Amino acid sequence: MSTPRAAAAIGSTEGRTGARIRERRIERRLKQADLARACGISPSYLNLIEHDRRRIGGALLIEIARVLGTDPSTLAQGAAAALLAELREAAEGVPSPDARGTPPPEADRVEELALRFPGWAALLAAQARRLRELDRTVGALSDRLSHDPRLADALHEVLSAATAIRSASAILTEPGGVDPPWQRRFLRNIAEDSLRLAQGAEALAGSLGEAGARGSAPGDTPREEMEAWFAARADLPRLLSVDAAAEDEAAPHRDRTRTVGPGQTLAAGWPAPQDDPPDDLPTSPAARALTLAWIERLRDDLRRLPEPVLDAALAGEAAPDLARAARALGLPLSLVLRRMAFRAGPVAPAAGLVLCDASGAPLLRRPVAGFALPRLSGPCPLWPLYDALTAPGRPVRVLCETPGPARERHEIWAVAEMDHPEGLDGPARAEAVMLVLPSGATSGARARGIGPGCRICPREGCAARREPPLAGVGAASASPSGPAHGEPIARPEPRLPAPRGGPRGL
Amino acid sequence: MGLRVTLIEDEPNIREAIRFILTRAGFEVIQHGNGLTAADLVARDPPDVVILDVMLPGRSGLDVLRELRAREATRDLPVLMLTARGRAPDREAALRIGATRFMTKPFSNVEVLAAVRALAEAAPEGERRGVGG
Repeated sequence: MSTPRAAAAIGSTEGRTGARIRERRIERRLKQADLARACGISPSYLNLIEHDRRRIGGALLIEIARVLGTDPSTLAQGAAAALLAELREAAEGVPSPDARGTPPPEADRVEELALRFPGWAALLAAQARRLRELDRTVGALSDRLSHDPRLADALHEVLSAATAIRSASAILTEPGGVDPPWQRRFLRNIAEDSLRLAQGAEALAGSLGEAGARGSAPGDTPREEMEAWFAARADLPRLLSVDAAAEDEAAPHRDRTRTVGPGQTLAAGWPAPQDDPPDDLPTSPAARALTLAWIERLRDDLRRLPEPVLDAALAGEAAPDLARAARALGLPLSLVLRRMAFRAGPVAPAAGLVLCDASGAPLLRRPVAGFALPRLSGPCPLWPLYDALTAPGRPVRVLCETPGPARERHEIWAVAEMDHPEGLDGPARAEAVMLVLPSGATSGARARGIGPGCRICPREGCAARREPPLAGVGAASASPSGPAHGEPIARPEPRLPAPRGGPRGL
Repeated sequence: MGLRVTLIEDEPNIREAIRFILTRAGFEVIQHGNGLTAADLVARDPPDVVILDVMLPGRSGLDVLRELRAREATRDLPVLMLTARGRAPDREAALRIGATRFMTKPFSNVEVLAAVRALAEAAPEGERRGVGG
């Protein structure tokens, strides 16, 4: 956990390049539009930068510094402050002294370390970040092992086969050998278990999975494959772009107001072949179908709310009221939220997205830095997504804080919509969407404490916790696996060997 | 008569290999392949050592162990639990419920034999059920 100093360094104004740019501009009595024009960017983009909704570096930072009459390092002091904060965090986790008596790092000399040895300081900070990432990965994998029945079954099959092969092989290779009938028996067992091992290894590999899509991890479900494909797609804006004029010409009677849902597409069979489908779609049929369905849906969203229209609706606001923007546009809030997570632009917007159906099952998840999304264990019940599900049609806007050293804050929007695809006599279908935006709110603002999901959440004293975190202890209930063996060995067996050594087995 | 071991393991080939090495070492082996009736079997005729797998059909080995520890006749029975490698919660639970020792799969025959001998030796002379009288 971070010290208040480290958290303050990360969250304070002094740590934000954008805020420093704004301060410097105001000091020089420059209007935002003037500075933007001088730097060759739009006022709305500069506004986003000043409110730290867009990262900035490189040539643009140099240009802004030049116009403001200062040097880039002065504006980017946040980077140095962030490094110091990371070094302090890395030192905090070290016991004092450790089991071998090694003294703790000299936390009060961290600035000296960063100044005298910037390369080593950066390496230390990077390794501490990597360790935290690995911790999260291990936690997620442990979570997967605990909750994924396919993976657990496959692993059990492999271990059982390997155990049987090892035991039989050891018997066969012992000095003195074994009687021929037992030799034949154990050789047959080895042959059987070798086949089981191969099949189990294949199933395990299948559960861990070969990445059918770029960026997907072993063992991904079709939805996860689809999400990984989207995440890895650098040309997503181009892929999703539509030529509305060409489409109008090709299909003039197309209903452009109706929402296309993946469920509707999938229910009608495989999605219709696209004119120019990407050539690296996930290979598994289910993931491929999902991906194509979502491509179509996101393109439909783009047709209904083009980028320039969205830009104009949000211009000039650092923290826009998306519900009001949706009303002004005459469009559903859910559409605006989805579009926000897939915006095009020079810098990819930092926005996460989660969609779920009425059962809470995820439909699409788009991660954002600082907001962890659990894979298998259930998500946090305090997510505003579920507020929305309980009150369809009502916009939800909540400032939330996630646990962890940085205690990152996010402005979260959510809304749920219902329809009756089979008519009013048929079942209602609900879909909730949650947009996660990094927040510029200060640490003083009241925020709802949420987490990634109970199983991997370190938050203590949460009234909504439904299960202990991974660090807790609990007996794993064994699930019946393998054949229901309970009967004695029915097949005839050779005579058991006479005891070796002394009597009574000792 | 040799010391008696009850082997509760649902994988037939693992069961066969363990039974072979224990028999060759002079133990009398009773084998059983499911968790539903394991506790009753052991309680009816307590052996000198129990080898108990965690992953059993019908009822988990941990539940079987819990019941053995709850019964007067089997409360102090030496129990060697077999767990899959990597399942730390299983090992922790096994020790907490009262397993005497545990071993992770895949294990070596030498390890199993040594463990069974150690468990049998640890029991007081008069309580070894394989001893006459």
